[in-house]
Amino acid sequence: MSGRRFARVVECARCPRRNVLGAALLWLAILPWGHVAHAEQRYVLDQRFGTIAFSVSHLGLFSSAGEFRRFAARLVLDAAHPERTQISVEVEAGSVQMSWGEAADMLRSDDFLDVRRYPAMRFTSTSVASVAPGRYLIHGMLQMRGVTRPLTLAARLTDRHTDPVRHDQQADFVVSGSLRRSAYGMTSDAGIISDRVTLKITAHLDLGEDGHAG
Amino acid sequence: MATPAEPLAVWSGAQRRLHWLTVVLVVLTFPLGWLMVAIPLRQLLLKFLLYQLHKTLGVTLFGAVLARLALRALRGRPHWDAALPNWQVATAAMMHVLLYGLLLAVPVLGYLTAATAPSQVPTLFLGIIPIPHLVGPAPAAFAVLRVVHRWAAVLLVTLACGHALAAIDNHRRGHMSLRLMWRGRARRSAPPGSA
Repeated sequence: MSGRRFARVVECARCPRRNVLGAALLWLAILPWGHVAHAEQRYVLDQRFGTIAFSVSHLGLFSSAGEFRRFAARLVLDAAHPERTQISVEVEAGSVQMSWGEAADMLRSDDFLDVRRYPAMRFTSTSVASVAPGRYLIHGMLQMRGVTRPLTLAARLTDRHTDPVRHDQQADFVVSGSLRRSAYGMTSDAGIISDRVTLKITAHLDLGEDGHAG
Repeated sequence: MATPAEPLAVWSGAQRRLHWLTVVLVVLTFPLGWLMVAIPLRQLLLKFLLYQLHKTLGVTLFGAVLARLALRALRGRPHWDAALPNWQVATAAMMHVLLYGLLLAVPVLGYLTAATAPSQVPTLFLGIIPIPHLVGPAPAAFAVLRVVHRWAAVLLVTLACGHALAAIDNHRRGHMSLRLMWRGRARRSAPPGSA
């Protein structure tokens, strides 16, 4: 892991224009605070700063949800070029939890996540596109169960504010998407567990002056 | 609840049919409950369907027992056989109260077990009519409720077997109790309505 840097949120969700002008103005506004502005800011997140949750449907009648409790994510945000954002996430497959313990055990088994053989799942972004103020499309590749497939996620900035006491900028993102589990070799129980798995990921970026990003 | 001025001479057709429906429902629901729990998660669809069937039978049973209680309140019951000793009548009456109580309690306990279960599987009558869970998931309550439901069901079936054996013994001694519930009349050759 390379060194962390002092950083701030640079994407202005409230600017009518999406990209560069707003970001540049923001940079000018914060320079007097005494921080060196760099093009890239790096963040490291883990389960303390976000959630990775999923849900499936059963015969369209009801759904079950679960989450992965241990993961590590690295983000490289480029203020001037948001499209150069890089995201990589590694999720510990065995950390899956559901409200029902037996269901989580079933997910860890060979028929599903097969955590014995594939203990980690990895997502690596290939490109990020800004589609509207505060909304992004993250294209990437998901490696799960030994299979690598493209996956697109939609990210939305839901909250951005400055902590009045510490003068930190804080940002919350909700990332959503879905995948078909059969594409990754999970075809078991197709009659009762939907093929489509809905993903809901949250991330909290806290860009403190003390350099603890997360 | 109004007690009729004159007790029934015989059980009505509806009372008899509901009684035997109750028997069939208990005979089906009880082993199904043990089976559905034993089916592994590997066979999730089958397990889900058996659970829904068990719950449908349980809801039907609850409705049938409510109907029986309503009819009992409205129409009463026939005279106890005069040849039966008092202690038998008293024991039988108490047994019937216990059975009615359990026939109501066991489905209610089952409903509460389903409602408090962390897995949050809905209760679907006949697989399509959702019955809302008025309480939410509660793991501690669930752990207790499922045990109580299970053993209350065992108690119900045990008492019901005793009830059945007593009825058969009663019948073999020439009393009319079983015949009244089965055929609706005391003697084979007697017209309906006569004691």
